[in-house]
Amino acid sequence: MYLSSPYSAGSGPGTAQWAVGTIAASALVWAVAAALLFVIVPGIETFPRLLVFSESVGLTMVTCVVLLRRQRRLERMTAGTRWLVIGVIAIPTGYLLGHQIAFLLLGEPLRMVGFHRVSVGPLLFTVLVGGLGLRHFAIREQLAREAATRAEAQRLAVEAQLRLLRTQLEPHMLFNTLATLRGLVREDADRAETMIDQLIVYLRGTLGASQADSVPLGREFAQLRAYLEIMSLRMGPRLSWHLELPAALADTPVPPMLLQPLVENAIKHGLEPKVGPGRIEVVARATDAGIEVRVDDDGLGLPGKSPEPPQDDAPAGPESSGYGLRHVRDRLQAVYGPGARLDVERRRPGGARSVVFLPARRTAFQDRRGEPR
Amino acid sequence: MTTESQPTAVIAEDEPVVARMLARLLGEAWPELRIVGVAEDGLRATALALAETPDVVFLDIKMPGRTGIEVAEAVADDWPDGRAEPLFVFVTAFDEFAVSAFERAAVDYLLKPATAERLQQTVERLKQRLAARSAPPPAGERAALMQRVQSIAAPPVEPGERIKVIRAGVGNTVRMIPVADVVCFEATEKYVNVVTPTGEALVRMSLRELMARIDSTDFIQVHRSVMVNGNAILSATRDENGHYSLAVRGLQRPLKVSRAFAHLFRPM
Repeated sequence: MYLSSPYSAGSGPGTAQWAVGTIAASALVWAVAAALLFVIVPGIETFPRLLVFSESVGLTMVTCVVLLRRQRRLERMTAGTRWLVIGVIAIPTGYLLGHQIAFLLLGEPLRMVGFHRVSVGPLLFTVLVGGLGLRHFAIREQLAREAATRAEAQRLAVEAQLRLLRTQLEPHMLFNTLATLRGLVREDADRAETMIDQLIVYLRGTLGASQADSVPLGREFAQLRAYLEIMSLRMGPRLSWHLELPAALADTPVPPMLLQPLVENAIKHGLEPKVGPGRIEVVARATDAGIEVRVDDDGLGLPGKSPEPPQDDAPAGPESSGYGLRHVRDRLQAVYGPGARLDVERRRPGGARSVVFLPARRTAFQDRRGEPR
Repeated sequence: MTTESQPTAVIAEDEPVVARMLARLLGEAWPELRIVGVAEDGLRATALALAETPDVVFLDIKMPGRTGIEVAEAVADDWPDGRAEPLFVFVTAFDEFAVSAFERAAVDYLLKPATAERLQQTVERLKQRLAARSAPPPAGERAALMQRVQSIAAPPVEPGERIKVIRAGVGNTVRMIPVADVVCFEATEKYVNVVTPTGEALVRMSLRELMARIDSTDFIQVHRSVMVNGNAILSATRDENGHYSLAVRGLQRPLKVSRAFAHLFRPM
């Protein structure tokens, strides 16, 4: 309610529009406070005089608060301490300085206030109204901060989603596949049909991946098979492959698109750029502690281990292999926590091996699957 | 040789079905064109193009061994004297390079899968170019062709701060090398090797970018990946095949000059 959006253009803290708004709102609050005081303590002052005092004290206090909020030294404190310090300085300053300003405005001689009988009531009242005002400021600030955090979290979520999409489907993959498909239509209609079928399985799996929390490992393997069949049709005899999944593991739930990036990496960075034939093997097996899936290729190996000059920390784009690996690591971490692992290593004489380890113990993720729909 | 009447082409494409489809579509769109060879990786494509010296080279960008652009560079670099320069057509599944880059290089490009209509346009353009093409180009023009091809891979660099001293990382220290002390720059895959009389150091920058920003006009290109300090060249020697190599002050080994730049070293 206090807050439209702290970052909407032209109304954020620090802008002229914000300052005018704050001053106008404060002036109104202190006018109401003057009226209240006038009613509560009958005969304290005439209303116009009371209004001048109230506005002088109030606006001095607001000015104080605005100035103190900009102090870098205070920003290091926790929010609570900071507002306490601001209050301790702003309320007495507003009270004492505000009264002197009021006397000036009314053309009266300056004098000390707050030490004789009549002033106790107004003093307490000032502290009360000032305190409430400060609380309002503090809450507003906190809400703004929370909204900023939320916006940041949302941005990160959108980014992750986008990254997943890019991992899922690359234009290169799609257009190259269509190129071979177009050639096969004339050359070998049967194989063209097979390729379309595989492409359907592949697209269903990759594009649907963001909608499911988990898929059976068997289905993930079916998708890998579709992908490798497509790549075989494209690369011809250059590519050979082998998939191995024990029947007992086929129903194990795994996060969708967990293995796909590893296999695509092996093809894209290991085998496709390699002159001559290459082979890829994906083997899943049960271990005492869980499930292990290993992806082996005999391609060009891991990229970029030549003499590296400094400043080699360029961010990984969707084309780089680090991109897919980071995606897999993020998913493992999110779903299984620290119990899961992805190791990537070099093979001799050439090629790369990536091993995913999924812990057997039930996780929140797996429990969720057990619930009735 | 029937090349005057019958144009020839080479196809470099690593996916066999796509290579056959391109050959078939070309056969329909341009029956006179003779496909003299198909290569399925960048190294074989380079050798094939240099051996067959065709009129047109269709180059897939992503290939094992060498990218299509690297093949074009290597072919332009070693193209034999006395043959009209080849016309390059780049083929790619997804336009990762700006179209303007291809146009600047005066070659056509095709997006995979190419439609018959689009291929027909390419064929018309190639026919026009072939008709307009002079017989063997003057020596200096081949160097220009190669530089145009090189400009595809590295779009024009905005001249940033001019470099007078090169900062090269060697282990944990950074060597400060005044440009005037450099004997030559050699491009490797991702880096430039900076050679001085006292040693070598790597800089992570493309050769093209480095040359655009360097505060010197002393460097001349002698190979697709080598720029040499003109002040350091002592002599050029020609071997029995007509290849030149340079003796350079401060460098023990000779530097190879590619055919495209050989004209720079012929006696006056």
